[in-house]
Amino acid sequence: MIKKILILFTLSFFSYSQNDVKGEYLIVQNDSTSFYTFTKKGAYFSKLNGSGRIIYDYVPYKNPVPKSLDRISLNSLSATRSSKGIYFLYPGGGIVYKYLNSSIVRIDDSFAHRNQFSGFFFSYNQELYLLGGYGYWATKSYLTKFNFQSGSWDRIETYGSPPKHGINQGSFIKDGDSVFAFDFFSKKTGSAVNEKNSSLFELNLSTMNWNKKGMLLDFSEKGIEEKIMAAKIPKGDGLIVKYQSDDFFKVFTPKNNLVSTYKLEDKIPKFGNNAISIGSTVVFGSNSADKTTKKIVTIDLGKLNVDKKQQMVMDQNQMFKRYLVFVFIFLVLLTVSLFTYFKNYVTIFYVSNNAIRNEKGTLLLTKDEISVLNILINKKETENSVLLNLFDDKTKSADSIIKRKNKIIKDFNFKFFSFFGKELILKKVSKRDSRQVVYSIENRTKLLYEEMP
Amino acid sequence: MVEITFINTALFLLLSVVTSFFLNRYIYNVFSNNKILDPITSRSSHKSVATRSGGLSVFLSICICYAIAYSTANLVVDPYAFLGVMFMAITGIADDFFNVRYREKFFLQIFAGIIILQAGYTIDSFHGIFGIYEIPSGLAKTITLFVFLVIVNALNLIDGLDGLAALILIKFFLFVAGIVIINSQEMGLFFPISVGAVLGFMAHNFNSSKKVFLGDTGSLFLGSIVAFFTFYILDSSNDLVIDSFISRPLFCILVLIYPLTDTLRVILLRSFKRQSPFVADRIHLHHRLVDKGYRHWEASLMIFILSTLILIANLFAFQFIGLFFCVVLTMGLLVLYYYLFFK
Repeated sequence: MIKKILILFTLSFFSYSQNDVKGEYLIVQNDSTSFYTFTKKGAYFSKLNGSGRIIYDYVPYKNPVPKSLDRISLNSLSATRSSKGIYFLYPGGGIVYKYLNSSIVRIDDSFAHRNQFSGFFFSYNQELYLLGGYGYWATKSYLTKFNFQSGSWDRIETYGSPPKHGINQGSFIKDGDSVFAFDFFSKKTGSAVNEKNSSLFELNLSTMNWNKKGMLLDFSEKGIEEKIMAAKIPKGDGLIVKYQSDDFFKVFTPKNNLVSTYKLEDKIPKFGNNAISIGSTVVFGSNSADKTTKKIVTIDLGKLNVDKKQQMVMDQNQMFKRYLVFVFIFLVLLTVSLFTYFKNYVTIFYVSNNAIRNEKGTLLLTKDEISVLNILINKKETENSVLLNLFDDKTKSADSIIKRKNKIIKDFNFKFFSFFGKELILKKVSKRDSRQVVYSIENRTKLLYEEMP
Repeated sequence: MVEITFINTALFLLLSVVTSFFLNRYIYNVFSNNKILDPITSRSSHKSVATRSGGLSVFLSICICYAIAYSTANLVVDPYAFLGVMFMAITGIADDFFNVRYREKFFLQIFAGIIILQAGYTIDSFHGIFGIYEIPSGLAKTITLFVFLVIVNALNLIDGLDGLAALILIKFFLFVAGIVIINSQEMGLFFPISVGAVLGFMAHNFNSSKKVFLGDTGSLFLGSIVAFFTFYILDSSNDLVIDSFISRPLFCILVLIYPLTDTLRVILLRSFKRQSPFVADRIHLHHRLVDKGYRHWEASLMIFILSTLILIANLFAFQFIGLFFCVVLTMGLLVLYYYLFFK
């Protein structure tokens, strides 16, 4: 019951116009309240009144449409409006038409390029541009501009970092000086695979500079076939995207970094690519009951509730900058930790029968020095008397023995310090008897006997 | 897929450090009990018992943590890359145990490189260096294979000081992690696992009495991982955030600046002396530091800090001075470092 009420409630948001359009047609926005529905015979000029109803006027063409249009469907054309008028582009680029004096006339001196299918046709500063597209087994990210004098297309040089392997079936938004491209496919040269690109790119038209804005947070995994069928309708500074299989559509607004999701009920007519938006109203064609004619239908998005609002892209640059700060802190911490660790680290020296060494090098020692080290090794403290015994000589006076011992230790410490940068043997007052001195190995130093393999 | 968060990154880092630390200790004991010791030669800087078990321990630690991350957090690594790296690790183990001859090892490296190429990441563009962008597929694969050999052997060659290779690897993994994770989170947890495994090893590598070396297992295994991520960055089909900061080839050179410059210098000097470029000697820049009186940790830390400073300086300067002047800046800093610290 609740569902039925909801469906009835939602259906009240639609307005059906009276103009049944026969055959193929193309809806093109004129200004903020009116639009054209072009057919091959004439154009409907329609206006939305205050209540959302469509008031229309049919104007047959004064001249038949150009022959090149006979072979193709009108809704395969791309259309754009500048202050000079409404322009149409042949699929794949090249041929340009203009709606002029109640007729569609061809204004180019070119040919069907077939090089930029699904490219973005837009006007900027009264010039016509075509961006990206697919053709001749390759996707492109280049920009071409229509030359009104020569009637041909010129390639425009762009800078910065464009999508590397081109833009096919992209979603585009032109907002002021910027064109945003996202949710597109790329094909590497020689590859048959259409790879989906998950990033948002911006082309600044005043500087012609490309900038990668970030990775899409709400990234659709749908394939290229579904993207071809999806509706992509410009809406102010945003873009409405609706996949046929979805019961919702999304409005992407890169300027505000926002994606709004609108949920639709089953009874709402499906809208495809041949649709426009005027303000908050989406205008599109809907099949009549016998499917022979189309009715032009509107939905007022302002009356629909936004189901979900979320960020459009993750600002990768900002994220990477923050990550670099983290890396910097990590590296500083690692360096400081290592430095602190090694400054308090017990240095190991290896003593052999004629030298002492560590990773820094080997210092040759005299026999007396080796004897002193042998006594000090593996002992916390050694009494002075023990060391004096080492130099005991019945032929020498006690004073001479003491001087000899002191000289050997002093010379050794000097030699050791010069080589390894630290003192090895420390002399302290004994804790047990303050009149006595004791010798010890420096605290953060460990002496080990050489262990040969 | 499980999203990469600070919590699961920290958890896997911790898990990896602990696994690597205890595995290193355990495998050291196994090696020393079985007298599988690193021989002490005239070129050796160690004179105590040391084993070449570090690489095996790091390899096993990464495998264990990878298995856990794969099952719990859906860590995905390209199977060809995985296979190629495993092949390199096995080659390293064989080399550590049986001393594989250089020519055979070279052939096995080429084979592993070809497997890793199947992952689909190649240096298919010069990204504007010398004005060259995309290059033909055949040439791209040849260059990729050459770079693979250079990176793997460069890491092998600089593994001559305690902590040096480990610190260079940590720097590489840390900087590259941000680029890869922002582009694709599925390989994200591989980085805390790798950094943790290397940190766990480093604690034993710096130990004076029970020293553990990376050995060929470590340098070939970790070298091939480094090479794979280098190809990932240089493959033009990946839209990477690094493009907004610095030229990709310049970044890759800078993040591996020490192994690359030292290897180039050593090969040039040996060629100048008409020696084989693969002959073992003590003419590396890090040997110079040790000969000047720096201890191993001091020399390693100095090289680590100096090379990181070059990278950071370029990351800041690139937007303002562009590629050419960044190359000039790098060359200038290298010359300055040489005269200040290495000469």
